[in-house]
Amino acid sequence: MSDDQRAQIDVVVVNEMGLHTRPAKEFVQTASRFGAAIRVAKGESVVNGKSIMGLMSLLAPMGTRLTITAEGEDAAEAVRTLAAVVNKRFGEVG
Amino acid sequence: MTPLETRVLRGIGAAPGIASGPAFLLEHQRLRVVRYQLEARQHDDEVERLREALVDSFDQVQHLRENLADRHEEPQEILEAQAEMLRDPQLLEEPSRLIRGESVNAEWAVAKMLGQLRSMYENAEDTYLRERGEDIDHVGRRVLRNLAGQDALLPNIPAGSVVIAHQISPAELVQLHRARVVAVATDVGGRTSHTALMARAFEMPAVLGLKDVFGKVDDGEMVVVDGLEGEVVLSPTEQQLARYQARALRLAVVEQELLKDRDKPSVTLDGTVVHLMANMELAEEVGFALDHGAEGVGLYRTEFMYMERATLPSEESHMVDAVKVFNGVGKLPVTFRTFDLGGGEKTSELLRIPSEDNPALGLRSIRLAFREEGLFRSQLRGLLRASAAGRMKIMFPMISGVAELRQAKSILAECREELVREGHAVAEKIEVGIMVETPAAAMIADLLAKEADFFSIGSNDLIQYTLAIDRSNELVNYLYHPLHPAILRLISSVVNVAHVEGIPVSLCGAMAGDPLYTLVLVGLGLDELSMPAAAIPRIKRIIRACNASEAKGLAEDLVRMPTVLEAEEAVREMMIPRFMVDIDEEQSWELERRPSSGSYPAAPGPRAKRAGRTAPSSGRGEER
Repeated sequence: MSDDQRAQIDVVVVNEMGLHTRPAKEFVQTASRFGAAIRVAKGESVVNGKSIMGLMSLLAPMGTRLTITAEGEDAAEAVRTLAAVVNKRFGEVG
Repeated sequence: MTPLETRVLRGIGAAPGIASGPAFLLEHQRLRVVRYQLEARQHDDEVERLREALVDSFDQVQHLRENLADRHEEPQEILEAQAEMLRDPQLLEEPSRLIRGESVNAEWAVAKMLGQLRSMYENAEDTYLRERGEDIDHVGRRVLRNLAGQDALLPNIPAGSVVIAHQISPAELVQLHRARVVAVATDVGGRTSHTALMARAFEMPAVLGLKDVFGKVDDGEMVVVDGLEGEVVLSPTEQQLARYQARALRLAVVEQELLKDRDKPSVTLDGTVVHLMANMELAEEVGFALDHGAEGVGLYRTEFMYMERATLPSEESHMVDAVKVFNGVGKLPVTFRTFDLGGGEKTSELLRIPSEDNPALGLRSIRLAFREEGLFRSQLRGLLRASAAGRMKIMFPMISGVAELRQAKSILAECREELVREGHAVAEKIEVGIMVETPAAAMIADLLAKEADFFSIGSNDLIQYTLAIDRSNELVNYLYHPLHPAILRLISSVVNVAHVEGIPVSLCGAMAGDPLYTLVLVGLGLDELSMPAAAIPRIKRIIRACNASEAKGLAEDLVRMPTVLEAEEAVREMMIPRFMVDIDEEQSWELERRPSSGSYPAAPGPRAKRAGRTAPSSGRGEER
């Protein structure tokens, strides 16, 4: 793993219920599939993207802008996949 | 022991049905967290104790999940999230730091951490997030119980108990269901809470939101829970109890018997098919509807989307909701009615409808949609985006002229074009119909039928507007009667002209679910009846046991009956001995209790004793 493998993306929470328990679970389960370290930031607050408690503590209702950062070998794929999870409303549609 | 006084508490009827039994008080929410000081050498052991409690809690949740039948998808997701929280290293690390840093016990440390998170949720501006804070409570309670060395599974609850609690988590409800608890009553919780949804899925009568039932009931006290009325009776008199029990038993026996026909077609002896559909307002009700033999959803009310929330629903939320319905019904058709808001009873604060002297004749339904076109478009776009996922029909309420139908259709067409341009999948063919609920629409049904794909007669409003009777006015509501010849003639003529134009007609008011009127409606030629799903089995039984020809004869007689009283006698004479001997009057009134249809009152005379139950009540109003 090298430090230069770093990827970042901005997303907006688009599901109506916001980043509550279930979406947070969805996010964490996906994030945990990657080796890269994952951080999620809302403004000043930064949390571990593999921690459901952390994500829940962000308190992100619909419309919240989040920055996902990954560091590690699969960083690029991790942010891509996680952005898709957010954009697809954490699987809340079918 | 002195006998306790009978008390009646009112809450939110969250899952229908009646059950009685001795109260079992779940005390766990009173778990008190005591802080005590540790010595430095105890730190490691305390952290280990916490770690074990978290592992135990996780295992218990996993165990619950595995034992949950597949069809309860919603609870699965919630339990999965709880499991995820329980194995989150943060839930161990943060309290461990407190244990070591402040030399406090594990209970205190966990409670402090979760308490902080909880209060963030409590203060959230977003309603949804605020409600989701409960998930944190449920996790916290479990960990605390495990720390206390208590079995976090609920104590042994005798089968047949009525469980009384401040709050019941979805996971706990699973256990209660398995322990064969007959009903639940809680201080907090609403009709859309996860606990309510699960109670409905399990068909366990539930009254929630009683505020302080926990403080009012004694352990072991006899309790009746009426989940339909949202009533809890404490220490009922012997007669009351006997009456409730008899009713519950009768309901159960009758239900079992009627459900035998569930998978049989709804067709008369002489071959006339009358489709039986469900009226619904929550996607979660689909399972219940299908279990009762619904052939689809004849009326999906969307008003609920605008209730109990801090913001107006987005296009996405309409789409999500519709897709959820389709996921449940599969290939069966679903008729979505665009929002029927306004008119007094269902006004959402979000809409800021000006106060009106006469809301029933005011800015409501389609009129409101045209005035708040952005809101209307966002609903239509949301629905259209879900349309590829199932058999969607769209229906406009309160249409009183062809111009309104054209305007609504043209907005719908614009929305469709936009979506297609934006690259969204939209179903090729979506049938577009209207509610026929104004006398005007009924009179010009021939003109409307040329431009609509189907009609659905909203009998409640049609009666109200035709007979010029305010259903909620107790001074005149005795005049509100479905068998008034004016109503029967209007329905008959709407059906006839629709059939000339080749479009089907459904009826979705309270009449559809009342067995007294089944033959009349078959005789009037309705193609489809849409009702609360619970009513379907009985209505189907009647349809399967009658001839369309005799029904037609009855309808022809009735439209010429000069008075309602005569019409009613004729109908009762025909229906009760043949089809309704096993039900009492009360029940037929309970078949349609949904808010927007209201209930109609008794005419003076044979049915007058029902007068006490007749005030139209808005279930939604009570929830807010």
